[in-house]
Amino acid sequence: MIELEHVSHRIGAHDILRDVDLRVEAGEIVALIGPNGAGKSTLLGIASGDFAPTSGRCRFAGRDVATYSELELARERAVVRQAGSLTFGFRVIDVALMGRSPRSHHLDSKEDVAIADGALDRVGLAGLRERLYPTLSGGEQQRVHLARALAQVANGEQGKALLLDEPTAALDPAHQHRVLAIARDIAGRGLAVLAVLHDANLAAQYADRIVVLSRGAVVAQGTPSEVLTRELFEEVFGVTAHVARTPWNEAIPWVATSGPREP
Amino acid sequence: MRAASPFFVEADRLDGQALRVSDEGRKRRERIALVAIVIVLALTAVGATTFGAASLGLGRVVRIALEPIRGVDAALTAAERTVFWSIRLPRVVLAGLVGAVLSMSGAALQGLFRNPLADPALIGVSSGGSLGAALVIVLGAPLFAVSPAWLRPSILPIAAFVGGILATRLVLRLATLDGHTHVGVMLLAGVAVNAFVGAALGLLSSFATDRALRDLFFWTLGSFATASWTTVVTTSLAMLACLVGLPRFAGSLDVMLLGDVEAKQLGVAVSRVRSAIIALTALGVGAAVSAVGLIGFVGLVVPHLVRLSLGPRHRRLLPLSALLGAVLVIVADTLARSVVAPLELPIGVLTALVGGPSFLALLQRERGRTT
Repeated sequence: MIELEHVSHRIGAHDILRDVDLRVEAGEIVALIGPNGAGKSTLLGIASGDFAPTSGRCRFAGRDVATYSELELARERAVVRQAGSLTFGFRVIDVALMGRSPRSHHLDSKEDVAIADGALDRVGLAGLRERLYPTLSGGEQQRVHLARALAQVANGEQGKALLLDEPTAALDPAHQHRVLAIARDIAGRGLAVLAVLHDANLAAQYADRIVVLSRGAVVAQGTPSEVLTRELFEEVFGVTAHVARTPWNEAIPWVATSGPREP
Repeated sequence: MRAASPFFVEADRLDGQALRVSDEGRKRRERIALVAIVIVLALTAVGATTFGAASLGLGRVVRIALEPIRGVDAALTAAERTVFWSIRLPRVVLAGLVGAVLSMSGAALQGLFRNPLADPALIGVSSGGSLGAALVIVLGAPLFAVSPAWLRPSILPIAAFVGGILATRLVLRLATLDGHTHVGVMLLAGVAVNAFVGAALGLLSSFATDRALRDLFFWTLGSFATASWTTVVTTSLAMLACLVGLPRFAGSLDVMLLGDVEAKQLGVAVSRVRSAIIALTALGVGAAVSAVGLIGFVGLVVPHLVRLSLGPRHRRLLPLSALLGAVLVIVADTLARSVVAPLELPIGVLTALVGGPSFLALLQRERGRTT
């Protein structure tokens, strides 16, 4: 669904991405992990069609992303980035309803409201629908944006992809699992999901494949068991790691890290 | 207490019935507000025509206004008809249009800049307009001498309009780096252009005659004293384009409050929408400024008032701001020409005098509520 081929990106004299190939197929979750400054958000931005890479190409559903209009793309894929700085007093339901704007001209239709309400219910915010967005906590705001994205491509007419930039960053453990379970469910219905994650254990539990980005290049990719190794954590993250198996599923690796690697 | 806010309803659990009621309630409140403000606008407009030097009561005004429908009313004098049709009515119509344009433009720009304190002056249109007007007032004597008589009344408005549009273009160009207009840079560019124009105005006034200084002073504080059907006709096209055009972008403005990247991801052609909004506001405000000079505070305060009572959604905010702005400017102009009659106060003095303190009071109240 999402195909990046030989993607490189420069900003000024800095190589942010170097010759990256990445594919996310319909129905799978790909987790993008890597140290701070590895280029994960830039890669997600290019995959979202926010901007074009300096070289290489990004295709969405077989077609070059650059050939899509904003509206065409908005009907096929939704993106959730870090909660921005919306300071105007929209109600939570109003923000969720914005996810319907690519599809309808009259936002207050009963159908749109029902879809947005369904999305809020799914992220556990139905009870806060009338609250003013700026009064919510960071984690709640992030879930509002996930609901907006669900209203855009998952509840109601189905799109083709969902891209998430650190969707669990501000969330408590229960909501981290809730959000990734939603991603799992959406992938199960045939969407391609690409998520930037920091928690390797969450990535291991929910992703079909993990892609590791370091200094702008893909250094490892494959199933969680293939990718999450002691060596990877030492070389890429510079930490000592102990890799075991989750008690409830032998197939899923479990990583404990313990501070900077000994010299 | 937050619960005192009209758009805040505590809903602790999912209760479909109650939630639908709250949506219905909100729609009803919006409809009531819309109908109420239209009625108030009509009453204000009619009422405003009864104020002025010549006495013309409400009954007379209504009879004159109904003459074209009911046929000639023998009890009315020609002078009364002239006062109503040629003096009062164009002035009220112009005040309404200007108020609507300033308020709706203020609302749109506040959305565009994601800053509730933005106002039309920020994009340079007002200061550019003053510079154009000042150039004509202070240095324009030769221009008047060579112009045909029919053109002379239009020289000042044309200069103001052109000045406003040019300044906005300059701000836009300064804020556009490698093909992208940056909202933050644009705010700074607006400040810089405004400062430069302020300096140029100071320079001009330092060698202006007393007469020119006085003209300039009145122009920068706004006045409807010269309003006529000619003014209405020459400026209404640009102002109506602004009033009809801006609401088309209401949905995009909502989404753009999330951020430019998010808006693009939701299907908004951000740079095209931004250019269109700036062009429409420059056109409308440029025309308003050219007709009546600078009227401060309206574009800042009115959208804020509407947002406080009905929330920030632009589909309601834009039209209601326009209507409320029209009411307030008609009222302000009526006060300006009646409190010290037969003299007139500059309307900008009134709007700032009343607008300033009430805006501060609003901000205090708002702060008390959200913290």
